[in-house]
Amino acid sequence: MLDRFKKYYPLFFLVLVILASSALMMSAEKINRLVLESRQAPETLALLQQLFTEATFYTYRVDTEIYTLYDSRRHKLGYAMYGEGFGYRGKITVLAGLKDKETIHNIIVINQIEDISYWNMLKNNNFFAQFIGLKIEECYPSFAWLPGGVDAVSGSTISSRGVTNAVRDAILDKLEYLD
Amino acid sequence: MAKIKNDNSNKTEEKLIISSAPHLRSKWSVKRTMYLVILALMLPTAAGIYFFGFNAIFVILTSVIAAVATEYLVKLLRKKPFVMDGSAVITGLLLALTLPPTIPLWMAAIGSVFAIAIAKEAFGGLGHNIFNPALAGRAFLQLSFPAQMSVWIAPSGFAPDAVTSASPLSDAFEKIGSNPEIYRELLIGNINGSLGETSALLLLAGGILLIILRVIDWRTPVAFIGATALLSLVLGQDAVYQVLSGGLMIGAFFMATDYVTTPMTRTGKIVFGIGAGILTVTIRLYGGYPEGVCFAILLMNAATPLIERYTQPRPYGLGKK
Amino acid sequence: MSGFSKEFKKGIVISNPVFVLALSLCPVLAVTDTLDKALGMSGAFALVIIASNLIISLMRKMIPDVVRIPVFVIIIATFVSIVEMLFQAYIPAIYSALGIYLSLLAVNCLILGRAEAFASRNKVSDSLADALGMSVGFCLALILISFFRELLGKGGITVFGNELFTLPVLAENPISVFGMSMGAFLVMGLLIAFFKQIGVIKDV
Repeated sequence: MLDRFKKYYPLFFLVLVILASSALMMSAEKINRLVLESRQAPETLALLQQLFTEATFYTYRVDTEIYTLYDSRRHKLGYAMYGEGFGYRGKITVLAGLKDKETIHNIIVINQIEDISYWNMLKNNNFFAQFIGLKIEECYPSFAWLPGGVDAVSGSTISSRGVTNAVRDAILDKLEYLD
Repeated sequence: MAKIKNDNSNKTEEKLIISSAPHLRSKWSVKRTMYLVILALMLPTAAGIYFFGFNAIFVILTSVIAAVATEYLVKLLRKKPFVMDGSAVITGLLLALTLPPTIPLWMAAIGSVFAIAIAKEAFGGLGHNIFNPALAGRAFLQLSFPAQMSVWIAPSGFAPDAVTSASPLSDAFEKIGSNPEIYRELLIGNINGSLGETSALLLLAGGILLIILRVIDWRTPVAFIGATALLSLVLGQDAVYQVLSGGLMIGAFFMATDYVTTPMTRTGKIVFGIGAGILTVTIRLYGGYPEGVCFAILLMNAATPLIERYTQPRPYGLGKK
Repeated sequence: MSGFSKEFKKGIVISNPVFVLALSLCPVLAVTDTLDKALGMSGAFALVIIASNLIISLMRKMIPDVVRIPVFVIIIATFVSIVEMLFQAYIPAIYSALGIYLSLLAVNCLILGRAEAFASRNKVSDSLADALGMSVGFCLALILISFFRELLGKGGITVFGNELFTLPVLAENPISVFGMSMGAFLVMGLLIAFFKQIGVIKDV
């Protein structure tokens, strides 16, 4: 009996360690999820309020990844969705806001790692302002390089294209899901 | 070559190595070669100063002075004797010639410091560096300051008002077809671009001078330029334009022929040139940067030991393995 | 207690994990482009190595020899997951900045190496000292490298949103090579050269 136990002791020990570690991780994850959930809602709302200042609450559809925003009187303000594009150095993440199915309301850049000098060129040349009120159909078919209403900033074409592609990525596939 | 100074030892230890006859003494020395190269480089330098005025003078002076000063300081730190053999001057000069004339002077100085301190001395000094120092400096600046490294002004000599515009290479592929007038401007160098890369004719003259004086071998530049022209032609580009514009001329004659960082064997030189040419066209047409000569030569520098290994000539009388 | 301080000091200079042992260079090179990330990584590293060294040292008599490596990996991975969740919950900015490199601590050669070479063979107090010393050495190295990288690559130092200072010219035209991984190799190499020159690190 004791011999058999000795023989299988390593296996037994390994299983014990795995069980203990799983238990620890599961409890840690439970706490983690609680903290995250309590924080997520106000943070997302703050971000969305940068797009639509009047927004007071939002709904989020997990399957289509579209945020729908409402003001305090429950009027629908518009939609918001994330998109990604590639610039000179890497990924550019954009949150695009749509007023309705046809018009872009505004965009905010969530994350980018472009060179400061290039990024400042975009900022100083009012590149982002071009997206405000841009009609989607205006740029939909010829989105291949840059949309109709948007001019790339000369000297910083690749960053401009990255932002534009991110906006396209955000809205194009999701237009049909907007209600 | 009977007497070879051991590089790692101090000046007291000079090893006398007896080698078999014939004992030839060459009139060539590192110094003489370097100063001949500087002489040949004076032609494109003069063109750069003529076309870009004071900007060019300041950039060249800053770059050269920074290079020599860095070399002196590093030698002091490494406790090695400082020899004014002109190699630092060449590095500084070559670096300056590949920079846009409008570059802020402190950036040019940083490029020189990187070229000498990191790309050359950190690897062990002249003769031990893997990468061409001037090109390493340029690549460093290109990666660090992409915006300032792609500002080009139209040549205006010493006139104060300079006009910013795109480099001929960066918008070449759509707009300019084959146009004889453009060829003439490219040959003379009256076109916007880097300081010393614009005048293809003077670079060619300097290169041919070096080939006639037997300072450099003709194989690398011919293979390099030939491969670039051929591949551009095959890919439907304007071959003459591709050859004359950008840094190809200065790269082929003055950088791909560096003794230290390129193969010594004859076949190796040709392989090096062809490889660099293919890489240049590839980067120019499909890469993120408008100019590919710098990175092409650096990549081939990294492949040099491999090329040398496979192109080693078989000593006479020894059988195949 | 002299044993404790000896084991502690060893990790800081004589066998500094980054500059002398040149271990765990993956996080060192990848996350040192800003001081924030370096501090976050040092914190995560310290938590994981202290906890895992402690547990492994406590259990060193129980762990059967044949399965010791899997057991070490499981213990380390557990702590890495917990630290990851802690970071995600309480410092999300640093969590998202560190990205995959936080999870990669689970296969960090330094942590596994200390577990295998030290904690599984020495008593608890010594293992704790070893872990503390290694954390301090790792942290100092990361702070040094990231300080220079952020200074040159970003043109100023910002710690947790507070701008400490900016350099006049470099802030507009930072030397962005230092923000890339090539810059990490450069800074690390130059720092090692400097330490050798002044005699802190001795040739082995």
